[in-house]
Amino acid sequence: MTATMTAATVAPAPAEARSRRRPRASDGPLGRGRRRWYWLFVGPALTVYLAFVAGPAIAGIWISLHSWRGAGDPMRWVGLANYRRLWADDIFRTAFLNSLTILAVCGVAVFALAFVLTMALREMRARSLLRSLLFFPYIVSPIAIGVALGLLLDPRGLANATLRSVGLDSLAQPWLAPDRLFSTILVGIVWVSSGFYVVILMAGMDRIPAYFYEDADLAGATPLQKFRHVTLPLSWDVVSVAAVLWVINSLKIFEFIYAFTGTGDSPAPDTRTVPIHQFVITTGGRSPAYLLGYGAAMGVVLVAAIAILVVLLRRVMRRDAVQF
Amino acid sequence: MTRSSSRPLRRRRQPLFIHAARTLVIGWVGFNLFLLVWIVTTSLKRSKDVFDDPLAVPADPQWTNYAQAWSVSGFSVAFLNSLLIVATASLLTVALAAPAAYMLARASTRTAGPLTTFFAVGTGIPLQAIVIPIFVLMQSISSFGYENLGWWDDRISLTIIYVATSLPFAIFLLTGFFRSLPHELEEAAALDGAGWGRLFVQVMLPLAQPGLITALVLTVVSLWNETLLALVLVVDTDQQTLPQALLGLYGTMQYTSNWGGLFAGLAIVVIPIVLVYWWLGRRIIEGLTVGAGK
Repeated sequence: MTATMTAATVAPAPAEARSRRRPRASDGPLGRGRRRWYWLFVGPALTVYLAFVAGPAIAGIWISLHSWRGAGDPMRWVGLANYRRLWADDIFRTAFLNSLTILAVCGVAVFALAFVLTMALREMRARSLLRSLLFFPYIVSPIAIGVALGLLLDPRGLANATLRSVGLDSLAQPWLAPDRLFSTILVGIVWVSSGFYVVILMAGMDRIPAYFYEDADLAGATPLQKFRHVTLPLSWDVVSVAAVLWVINSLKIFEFIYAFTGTGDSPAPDTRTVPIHQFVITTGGRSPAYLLGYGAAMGVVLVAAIAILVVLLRRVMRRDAVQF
Repeated sequence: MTRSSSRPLRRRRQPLFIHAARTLVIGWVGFNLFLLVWIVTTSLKRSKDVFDDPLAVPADPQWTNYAQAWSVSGFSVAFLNSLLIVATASLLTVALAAPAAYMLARASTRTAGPLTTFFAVGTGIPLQAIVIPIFVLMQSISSFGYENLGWWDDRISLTIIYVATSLPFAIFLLTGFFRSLPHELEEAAALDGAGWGRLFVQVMLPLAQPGLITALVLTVVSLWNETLLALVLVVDTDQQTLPQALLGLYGTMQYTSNWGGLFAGLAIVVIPIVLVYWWLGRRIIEGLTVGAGK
């Protein structure tokens, strides 16, 4: 789940750090040998991070400018050719569109459902237990969940058997048929992800003082009006942070989709997303293609897409903070 | 805390919308519980009943499914690999992150702020941006190992990468945690003549224990589920982790139809996380959503 842990990116770490670093009395006695201790404490983590995360990120850009099949094959400089090739590659274009579909379609569904679930949870008993149970799919191995859902939705599986046994034969579907698989995956992603956003939104809404809702009740507001005029404006900061997290998390979903599509032969092109396609053309499959330069270019494009979308989203969602 | 106060003082007519939303919550939670129960009950069925009679409850539990997944399908080896790799990597992550986070939270040097940001950026970098360079780097490290030591183990590569990719979030989490601790004790200890080293080990680490445990648990959960890096870095079946073993077993189904064994494998992957979640769920939820709620 390194994949899922990105809560940090959007937190105001630097600003907070600055405001806390006013001169303190403790700098005096602790100042002795401070620099030495500082690097002794920070150095090891920084070295590992530089060598195995930051360094590779830079190296990825470099590799993307080459044609290369890995150790033993001389790197050949091709400039931006890999990127031009991406532009013309139909399979990549489908994969990119699929990734954006997940971002947009699942995003709307996840946030709509998360709002409804959170509003309902507000007034339910045992809300903390219910919240834990909603959150639960998010921390189970996405491979296991993908495999389990695949078995549940198998044409001969429990889902169809249940539908037939209650006389709804017409609803029984080949859920995993090639033309339906991607829609099934979209629904699955919504199911797995919503709990996480429920927890975030709930944390934001819990800080809204109850008297706003009491006032709204006295004024005879409908649930929708309360949502529009109280909940949404007063939890806007949290909503916008959650939206940024969704952009970052949704574009890199790999395991869940791979468990649906990746066993046996390589996934059908029209169910691939960028992470899946990158894996397939580099080290994945029975006889890996090792198109490392081309794959690295996909990684760079993905990061660029995330960065652009996050900046746009922050701009669109910027509001003056409501004081309460 | 806000629980009671956030409820309306008096319930008036409950509109249809609220009823529908509550039904949705109950249905959703019910489905999640059902899926878990279904995996466990199906894992005790005969393979041929899994699809021939999906609605039936297993009459005589087939514990042999577990025995088979465990020994024949290699889940015992994979389980040990996962346990070893995840435990080592998580402990190393916290051991590296804690001192770094403490200094970044407390030291007033010029680099502390930018470095905090630099680490935080790491939580937003998708694996797709680094997986290929990491594959190349680890290939050259392992061939260096073979040439000079005559030996290398891909599980070491995986552990190193797990530590590196877990560090940003752990440091982010712990920096926030150390900042929330009171300064007074440090000042008192400093007046007593304690240096940074003693201060950290004897004063701060005990104080920070809840934060350290949260960081450890979150790293464990996330690495237990990690699959992409394992697929890229570990080739040998004897060295693979649990999710890989599950994928491998799933891939053989079209030849073996050992569905009971597959469900037992699913249960072996899922149950440890369920237990951890049962035990430390609140901590996991709050830790994972930290930063968003602030």
